[in-house]
Amino acid sequence: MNENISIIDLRDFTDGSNPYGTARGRKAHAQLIDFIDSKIKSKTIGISLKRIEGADVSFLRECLIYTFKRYAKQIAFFVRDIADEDIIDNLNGAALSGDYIVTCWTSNKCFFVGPKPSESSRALLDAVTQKRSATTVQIAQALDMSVQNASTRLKRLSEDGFLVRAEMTAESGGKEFVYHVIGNSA
Amino acid sequence: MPMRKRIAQLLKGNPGLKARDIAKALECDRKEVTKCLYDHLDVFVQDDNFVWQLKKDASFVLEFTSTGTWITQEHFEKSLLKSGSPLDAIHGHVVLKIQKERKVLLCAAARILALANQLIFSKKTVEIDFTENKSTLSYLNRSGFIDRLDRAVKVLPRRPPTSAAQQYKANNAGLVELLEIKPSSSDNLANESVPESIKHSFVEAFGEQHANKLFTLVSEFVGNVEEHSDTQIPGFAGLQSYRRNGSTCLVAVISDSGKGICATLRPALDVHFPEIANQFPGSQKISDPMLIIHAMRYRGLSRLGKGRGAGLNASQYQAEKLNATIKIRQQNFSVALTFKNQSLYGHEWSLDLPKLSGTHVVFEFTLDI
Repeated sequence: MNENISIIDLRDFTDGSNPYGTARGRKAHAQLIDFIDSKIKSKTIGISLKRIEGADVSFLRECLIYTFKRYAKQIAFFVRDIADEDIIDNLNGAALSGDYIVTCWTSNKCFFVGPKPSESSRALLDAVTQKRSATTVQIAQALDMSVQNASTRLKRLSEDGFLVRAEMTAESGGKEFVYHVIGNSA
Repeated sequence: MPMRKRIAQLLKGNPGLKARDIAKALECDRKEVTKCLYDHLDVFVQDDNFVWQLKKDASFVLEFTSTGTWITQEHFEKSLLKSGSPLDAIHGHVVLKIQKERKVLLCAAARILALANQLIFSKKTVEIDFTENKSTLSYLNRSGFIDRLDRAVKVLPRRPPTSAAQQYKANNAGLVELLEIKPSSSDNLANESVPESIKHSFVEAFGEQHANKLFTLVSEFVGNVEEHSDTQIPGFAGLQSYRRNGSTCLVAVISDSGKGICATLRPALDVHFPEIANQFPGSQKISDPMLIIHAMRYRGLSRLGKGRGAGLNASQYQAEKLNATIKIRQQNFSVALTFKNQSLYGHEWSLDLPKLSGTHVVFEFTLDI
């Protein structure tokens, strides 16, 4: 899917490569917002943690999660280039604390941190994630379910923040929805 | 003039007299003098030589002992329990002694340091006596213990003239110096980070694996000290490694002399978390340790309300991954959580501990090296 994606290097907004704590998180959050408001026009922004060696839950919540929530429904964010599993765990803790779903990418693999999807929607999410994008009909066929059922669940996944939904013209000439994961890996 | 006042006046000018000498000086019946002294043990104190003096002029001697080589946090608490806390005593002079030929583990050193600084803050004169333990003084000096010790504390036989910690900075793989935690302000945010220093020293000694787990454990508590401590006595953090039974053991400490975790949380509980406030009412002694255990096991409790308060839980999660033990000492109680096979193995608490202000956190875990 063609989209204009901007990548922000989080290290440019921290005083060190191991930021921690609420106070530092808030400082980075304020700087991030200023930058996004003044410089970024994209509707999809990737936050790269390439030069972040470590970060705790408090920092990640204040800096990233509260930034993402501020722009909810306007800008889709994803996080990529995460150094290790422990940072992922902390990002998960931050996302759960802030009750916000975040799309993450490492080594071309897409996954989510924060609140989990319902059990009944997990298969649809996995199917879209694997393909990177799919129409309602494609998912319904892949999972042998009704289009109506797939449509309801996919719409819910996009409302929750797991996927982004776009409208396009179908081969038949009518309108159909395409669901795609947010962002990409490096 | 009442007998108590006469005796007090006499001892003020002549500290250290036996009862018969007091009676002779005051030209009183000795039995009367003895009765008065014993009736006012809040004012007068007798030493092992039957000599009396005013309690506020007398020395409170607290000796830290161990049957083994090391004095640990457990030995610290045992010694404190035996003597009582000098923070609660009216003695104006306190002597902290380390038993001969004993080493001091970082967890005990942190508490001795905090206690000494708190005693100075409460306007007592304080001595730490290493006369029979010069090698321990040298070791602690390299850890930054002397750097963190209030200048008013007298060190025996003498305070080292230069900071060995500055000289040996990060060159001792077995020990990371005790670093001061400064309150968070915009000036300090760009300064060298205490958790980062500890992490880098760990990486240098043991590699990258587990470094971020340790970083998270330390940073969440250091962040809390920076933001909530609200005391003029600086907090500090440090890391020590040692060998035990063929394994490498790590001890990380984070210490402050502030209000304590519950005093920070409780004002917000009634407003933001009334169900939690009801579950752990402040009127019951057992509530505070249970509240801390709850805050560690479940995210979400914060003085700032909902959508925050994940730090303690994050520390617990990383401790779980390391199979660590976390011990948190508060003013009059402590809690401990033990993790094995990457899950919570058990938790316990101790109530009615002698006073030591603030929050003193100790993480211990083993590396398979």
